[in-house]
Amino acid sequence: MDSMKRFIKLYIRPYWFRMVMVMLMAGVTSSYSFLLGFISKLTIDEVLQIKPAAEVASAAGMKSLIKEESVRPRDPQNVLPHQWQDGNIQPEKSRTEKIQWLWWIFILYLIVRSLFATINWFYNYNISFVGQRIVFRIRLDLHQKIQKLQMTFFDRQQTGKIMSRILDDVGLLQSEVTTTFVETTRHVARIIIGVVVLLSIDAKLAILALMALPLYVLTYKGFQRAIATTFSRYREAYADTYGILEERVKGIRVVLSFAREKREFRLFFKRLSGIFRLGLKSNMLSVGLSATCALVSGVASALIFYLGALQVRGGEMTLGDLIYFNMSMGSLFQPLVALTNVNAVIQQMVVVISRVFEVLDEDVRIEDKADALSLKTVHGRVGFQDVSFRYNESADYVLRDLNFKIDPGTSVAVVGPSGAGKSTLVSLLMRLYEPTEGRVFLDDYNIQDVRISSLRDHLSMVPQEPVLFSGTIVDNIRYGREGTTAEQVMQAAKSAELHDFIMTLPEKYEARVEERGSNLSGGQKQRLAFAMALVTDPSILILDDTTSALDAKTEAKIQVTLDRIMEGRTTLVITHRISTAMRADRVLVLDNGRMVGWGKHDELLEKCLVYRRLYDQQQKGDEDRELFAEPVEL
Amino acid sequence: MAEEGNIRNLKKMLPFVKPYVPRLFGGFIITVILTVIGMTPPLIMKYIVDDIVVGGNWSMLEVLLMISISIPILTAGMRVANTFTISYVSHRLIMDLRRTLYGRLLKLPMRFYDEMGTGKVMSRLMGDVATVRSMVTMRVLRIVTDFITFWVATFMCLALNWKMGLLLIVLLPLYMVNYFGWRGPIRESVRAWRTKMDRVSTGLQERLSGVALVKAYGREKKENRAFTEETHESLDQAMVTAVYRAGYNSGVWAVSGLRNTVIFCLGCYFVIIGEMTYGAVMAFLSFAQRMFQPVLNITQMAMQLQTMLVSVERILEVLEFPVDIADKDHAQALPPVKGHVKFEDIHFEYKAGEPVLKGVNLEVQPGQMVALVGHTGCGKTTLTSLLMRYFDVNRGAIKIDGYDIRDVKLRSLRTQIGQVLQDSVMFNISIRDNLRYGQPDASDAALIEAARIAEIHEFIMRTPDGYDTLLGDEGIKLSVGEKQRLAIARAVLTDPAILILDEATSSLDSLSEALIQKAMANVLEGRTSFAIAHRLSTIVNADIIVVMDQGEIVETGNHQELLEIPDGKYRQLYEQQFAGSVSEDIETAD
Repeated sequence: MDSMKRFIKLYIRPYWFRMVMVMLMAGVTSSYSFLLGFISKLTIDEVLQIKPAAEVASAAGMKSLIKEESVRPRDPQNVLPHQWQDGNIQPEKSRTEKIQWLWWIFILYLIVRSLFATINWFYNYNISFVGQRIVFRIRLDLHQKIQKLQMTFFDRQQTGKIMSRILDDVGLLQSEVTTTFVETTRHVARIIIGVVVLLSIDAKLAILALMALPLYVLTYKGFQRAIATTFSRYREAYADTYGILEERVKGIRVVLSFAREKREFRLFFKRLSGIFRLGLKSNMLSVGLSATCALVSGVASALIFYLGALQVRGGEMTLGDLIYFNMSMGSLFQPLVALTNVNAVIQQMVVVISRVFEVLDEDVRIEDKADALSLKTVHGRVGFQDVSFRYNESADYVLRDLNFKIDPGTSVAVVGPSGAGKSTLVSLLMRLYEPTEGRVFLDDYNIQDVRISSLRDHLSMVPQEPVLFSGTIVDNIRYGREGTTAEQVMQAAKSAELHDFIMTLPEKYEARVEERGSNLSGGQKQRLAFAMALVTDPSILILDDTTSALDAKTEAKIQVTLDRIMEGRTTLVITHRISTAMRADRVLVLDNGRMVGWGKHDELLEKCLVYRRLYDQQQKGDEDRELFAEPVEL
Repeated sequence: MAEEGNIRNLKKMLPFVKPYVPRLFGGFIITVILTVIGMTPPLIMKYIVDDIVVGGNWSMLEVLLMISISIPILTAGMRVANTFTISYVSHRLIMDLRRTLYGRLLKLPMRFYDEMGTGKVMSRLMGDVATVRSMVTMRVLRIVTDFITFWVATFMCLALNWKMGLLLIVLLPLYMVNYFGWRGPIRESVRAWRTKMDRVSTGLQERLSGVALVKAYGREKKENRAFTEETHESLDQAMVTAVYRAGYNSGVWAVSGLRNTVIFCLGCYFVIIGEMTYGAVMAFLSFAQRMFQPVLNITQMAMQLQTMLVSVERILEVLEFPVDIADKDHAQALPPVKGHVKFEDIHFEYKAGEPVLKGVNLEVQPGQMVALVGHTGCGKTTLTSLLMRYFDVNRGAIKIDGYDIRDVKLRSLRTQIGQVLQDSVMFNISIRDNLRYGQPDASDAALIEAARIAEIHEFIMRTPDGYDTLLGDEGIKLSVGEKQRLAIARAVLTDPAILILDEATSSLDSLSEALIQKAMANVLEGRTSFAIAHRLSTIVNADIIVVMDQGEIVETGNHQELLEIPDGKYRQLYEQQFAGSVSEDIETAD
């Protein structure tokens, strides 16, 4: 409930005026059906002056029931006037008078209808307006927050989950929130007005009628839970079956190669029967509910109407009142059902809202200090001082007591078995994570004292898998720094040796890159990623196992490019290949988060056991190099 | 003609509906009765007002009470019965359709899967089937209801007062105009909104999956701006839609308001001049209300019918895809295989006119290991697919121990050939169940033995629940190397006489590489095996190296023999790709 309060304060309050207006309009519109009923009553009692008759011979009545079509229409003017003579209190209006009155009723009717149509229009528009704005603001806030959050958050959450929070969950808020808020007002208003109207028409009847309502609600509640559980079980079964089917279709070769068709068919049939049963059950429960509700309201209405008719007979009630009463009672059932649902909807809302706040409340742990520095030029000296890191307090250390210094313009290869902490190390340098203990230096500045944007301007990382964005080539290259000149972009492309390829494209630099770069080859993607990194002309370059996804030929070509790019820059190369490590000025060997070796290749071969082992393993593996790999043209 | 095609397609669905025709007919009858009963309350009301209250026939009041009470009771019962019938039929129909489709799927040749892709198969089996179901049952009955309602209401209105009835018919087009007038803009606007939302979500997806990059380049502010812009555009579009919707709603209000006002007042005028009773006016109003909606429903039907026809067509695509790989009538089970395999002049093409294999001849003795090498598209994989009989050869024959594989039962063939694919699929079930996939009754001892052979036992023991650990979405994720070793274990467990290995081209770290090598060596012993080889050690160890080029075998022999052929294809490949990489520093897969 706290989150609900916060939600109202943060997101609904800015629109409070519209919200109040909408609620007012909701209240007003709820009186619509009662007003119409009242007009009918007026017409019957005051204009048409239809009065109940005293008892007449039942034989005639029987006849009229049997051959209703042929006897009808009996002219009420002929039958009624003389019956009204006795015990008539009001003076009978003349025909012209009645018609005159009818004109007034007509005008009244038109006014009420057009008034409500107008209100309804504003009401619909404003509900959308408020709902859409609220959703818009929540989405922006979520997005902004997510942009600020540190990498640890993304390690915990899958992309899909975050997406669904920003898009689906919040979208749900739009449809549910505003409507629930407002519709609830409408329903409450409707019920209050309805009860008052019923009581004002005939208190005794009203009390009887109101006794039927709880029965209605009870039926509803009774079915509700069973329906919800059955339906969710149905959906689960469906999703399960869907998942299984998808797996089997994807793995059809496995199914076929083990000749499992019969078993698979049986399994699927079992699942289908489950869905069948649950689907049927869920339908039956739904119809059970609506049929019972219809039964309760039907029988109750009939009984009340009967009692009302008896009152009319006794002259305690006018015909107009009876019809007015009947109409009003009918419009009470629906809001009641809706109200019983409100709770469930609110529950659902609270879940969504608290999920939203969960993200919004996530601590931003990596932020610029108030007096953070902006670095103009960077030489490229990197230092790690007693650096340890773990993802959270309950986790094990990923890195422990790292101490090393890298001179400007030199290259360092970071090697070690998978899970040694290589990627984490460079993430710390980029300040995607904050070290748990110790400090990281760039030139002579603790990177925590430097503005994040300034730090990252001087660092470029080429990820293991090139990440490309849909847009043109030039958009992608410019991704790193907006406002770079065409000259700079071309320079970067040339350094990455992509320029020549780009010039072969019909649209040159304006050629489109499809989602995830699906229209480019592996080598081209990699080069594009290089160009992206180079456009900022970084002092420090980080290559995260950059060439491992490429085939031999492409890699050989790219290696040449790489050598050129690395010149004059401090370069960190994450790799699990000794051959790559050999080319670097220094090698840093990580094992289980600790630095177990630091030095030149030859030195390490002698003094570092882990490095030696890696080397031996790969020497052996060398024989198993990819032979006859697919030739790939760049 | 498309029309005829549609009708023909619909006819093909008849067999699915046929078993339920009696039930559907029952449902139809009940629906008709229900609809008719549903039309009585206005008449009862009329009788009460006109004959009992005004006419003074009070003695009938109790009778009417009984009738009014019995109507909801009767309808409630009938509705339950009706829903049961319809739900039963519709869910059964879905089940039958899906079952048939799935049964068909399992029989379909690989060609089908290559052409269709997982997504399309799924949407046919799940989505399209559901569309057909709702059409066949719910909608058909809906038409019945709408049809009856419309005509009864129209008739009753005309009978109660023909002048007002005619007026009503004049008003009806207004209602339609409002609907059709707004439908276009609303649909357009919703479509535009969807496109814009798609853009928002694609952008978001990209930014989230590339979050490290966004941060690395300090792009947060720009991304926020872009997101704001995109979201704002979708917001504006949503508001346009809201305005249109509100417009449509107001239109409905206006038309129905006008209708009710005019009818009510006109009716009352007729009461005053004595042409009508008030009860009749009330009944007329109720009937008028029921007259308009059915017309809209029926016009919407045309559109829904179109959707259904598309679904039917797509379902038929699956059902009518030719099953060209099936057991012959008198196919015998392949007796336990020794492992002699012979390819005799194999010709094969996926698409007519584009031969993939052009006369392949190869004989393999039991226990021999064959390494298939060559460039992509040379036909290596096709050759193994033919051995599994995923496809049938166009010419020539494949014989195992002298049996043409087309003459034996598919099941007996495939169960005796093990296959480890390059991209090994594991199902989202426990490791144990995955391993036992081909041999459901394998004992735990056999299971562990197989895992040991595949060098995966130790890994399994390190997982949280050992052999009971779940894989996939709810369980643990596997690396490529682990998957492959599991696949090897899975294949070993069935103890196949013939084994097909498709080596992974992707790079693995050296430890998993070493483990896989060891596993492979263990597995190949004593089995006839075909390896689509990418690694030198595999190739060198092979008894026969088959060098393929453009659908033909160009050289066969062992490593030494082939190297000795001057200017041989194998020698070229070897020098080009392997020998070179030793002297230089080009690291390849490891």
